[in-house]
Amino acid sequence: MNGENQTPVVFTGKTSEYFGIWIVNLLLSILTLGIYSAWAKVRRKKYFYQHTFIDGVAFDYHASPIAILKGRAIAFALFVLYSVSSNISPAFSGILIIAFIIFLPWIIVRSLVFNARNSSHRGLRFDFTGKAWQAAKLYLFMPLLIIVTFGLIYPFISQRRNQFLMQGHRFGLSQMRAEFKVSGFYVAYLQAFLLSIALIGIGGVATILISQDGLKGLTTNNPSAIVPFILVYVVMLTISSAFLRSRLVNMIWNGTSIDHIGFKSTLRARSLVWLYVSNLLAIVFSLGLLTPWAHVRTVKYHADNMALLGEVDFDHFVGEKKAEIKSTGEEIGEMFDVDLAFG
Amino acid sequence: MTVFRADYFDGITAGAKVVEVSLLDQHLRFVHGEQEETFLLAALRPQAAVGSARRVIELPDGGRLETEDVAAFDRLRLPSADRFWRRLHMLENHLGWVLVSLVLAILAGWGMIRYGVPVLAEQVAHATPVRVEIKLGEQVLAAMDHQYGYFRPSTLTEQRRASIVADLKAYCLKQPQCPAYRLEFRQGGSIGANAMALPGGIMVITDELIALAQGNPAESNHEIIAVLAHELGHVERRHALRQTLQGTFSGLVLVALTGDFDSLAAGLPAVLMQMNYSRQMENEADQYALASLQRACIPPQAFAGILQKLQKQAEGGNLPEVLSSHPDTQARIQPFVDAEKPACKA
Ligand SMILES: [Zn+2]
Repeated sequence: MNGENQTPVVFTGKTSEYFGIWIVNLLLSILTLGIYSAWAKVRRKKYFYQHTFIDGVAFDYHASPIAILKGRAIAFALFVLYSVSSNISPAFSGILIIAFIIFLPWIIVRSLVFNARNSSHRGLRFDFTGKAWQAAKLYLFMPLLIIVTFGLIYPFISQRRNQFLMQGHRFGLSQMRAEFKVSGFYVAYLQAFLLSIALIGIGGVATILISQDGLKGLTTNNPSAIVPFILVYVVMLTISSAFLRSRLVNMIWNGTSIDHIGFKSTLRARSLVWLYVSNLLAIVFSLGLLTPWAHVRTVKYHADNMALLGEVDFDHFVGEKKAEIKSTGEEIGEMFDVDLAFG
Repeated sequence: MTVFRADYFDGITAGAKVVEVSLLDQHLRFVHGEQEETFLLAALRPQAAVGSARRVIELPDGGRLETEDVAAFDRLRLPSADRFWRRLHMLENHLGWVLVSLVLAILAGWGMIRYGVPVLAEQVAHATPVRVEIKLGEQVLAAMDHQYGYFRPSTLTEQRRASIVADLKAYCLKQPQCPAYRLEFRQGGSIGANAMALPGGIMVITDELIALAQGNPAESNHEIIAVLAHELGHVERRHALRQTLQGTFSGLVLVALTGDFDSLAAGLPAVLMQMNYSRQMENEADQYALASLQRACIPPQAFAGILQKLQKQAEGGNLPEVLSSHPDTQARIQPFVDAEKPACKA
């Protein structure tokens, strides 16, 4: 690989700095009964975006807290309605679930659009152009085949979904291109599956060892006795998902390009497993206080292992006419922001 | 005069142009290529500072200026409308304030779940129509019967049931006011000897508990009534509904606070708190049982007796509801043991 043609992604965030933002976010969220959490989200995203640099220029996040708050209020109201109705009128809660499923593809696309249009780099906004019917196919209909095929189709669905997510994004007027090998996804999922089987064996032994005194605690109805069990289970789950994530993210970015620029992701399964497990333990044993530290080092690790390939001549990228930027800026008053992850 | 150096993005191409920004007569001015740009200060939208990130000025035509020169940017004292964000930035960046925020956040979070949520749950419980609560209790009972398969139909004789129902009624008549209740008999199966109060005044008692209480026939119903008196204490204060609401609200508070679900650590304290206030509810139910048993001329020692039997049986097994969240049964039954036997006859 020609070193000259690689442009690193640089993350300059520091735990000491982010801790202040995090704790103020937490405090104000509590004091305002959760209302501030929308502002907190903008603050947090802005911190991470504005400290992530490509070729000396950072990203930016523009979402309006009010839009996020509206979305959360609706989600909250629906959730309360659902939890109340599931106890009183199962028929009504059934209708709610069906309505939610029908709207799900639309919500997925709207949230991707919301996030993309509120993200910018070098004065150009991102956008998402995927359609709701594509999302319906990938997130509603294809999953029906999982049962028929005993799950064998899942890697294929995952490949299609990630292609949909990446291809749908635009930077300025340049559309992203994504081409992933289905076989690569099958290999990654098979390896993750075998790893899980091995871990379940190890986890079983660990559970028996712990249960020597753990089971006794359980029978006296002491709920904290169940904590070691949950911890073993969560650690096992973390290991397999970290492994799978490292394989998938590398494959996804390495198969993605935009105009003349390619990407290179070099996550290593071992490092990611260690990162996740140590984060998890640090957060649990610090009663959450090390969350900002975990957050910062996770983003840093991902940035350190990401680079752009090819000549980064940003003058090639163009956006809409200035006047039109304004109008897109208005229309993002939409408010669905569900966080979608790879997988 | 030149104020600072910045990257200028015109909003049409992604290329950065390094410009020297100068301030002149309430206008910001810079030159890129052949072109000169001038903007009225009041029309600029300077972004709120986040950490040590580059400071950003959004221009009215969709362009933006980004500068590393934080000091020069601050000296500009742009007429930012966002005093709030500036205060926030100060709060986030001073160690002292951060520590104060940390302590306050812990206190506020703890206070919210410890005191706020129970009060809220109590208020909502009061506002909940009885009809709705009964419906809820029926759903829960149906779920326990069918979905989870905890219970089987009771195998008690009609006679035995009738005697318990009659004794409970007699006990209730001696109370100044007895909450509306419905008694359900079930075979406990894996749950074993147990009694519980569901929302809407539905009380379930298992055959196993009745069998356990059946030592001395003359007093056997006393022990059953004693347990049911404790459950009636829960019914009277609508504990089952409050507990359900508290669980739901605590979960909502945590989700609302963190905004994301990856806060396993944040969830644990809430679970522990939950245990704590259900203990307070148990104390209330006990106090209710003690007072009401004496009013009904039933020796409170009956409650101590059945609790000791349950404790003995429960060693190594499941804990019945009346013993839950009371690690120290001995301390708990002491008031019942010490209580004066009622002078009257049941
Ligand atoms: Zn109780």
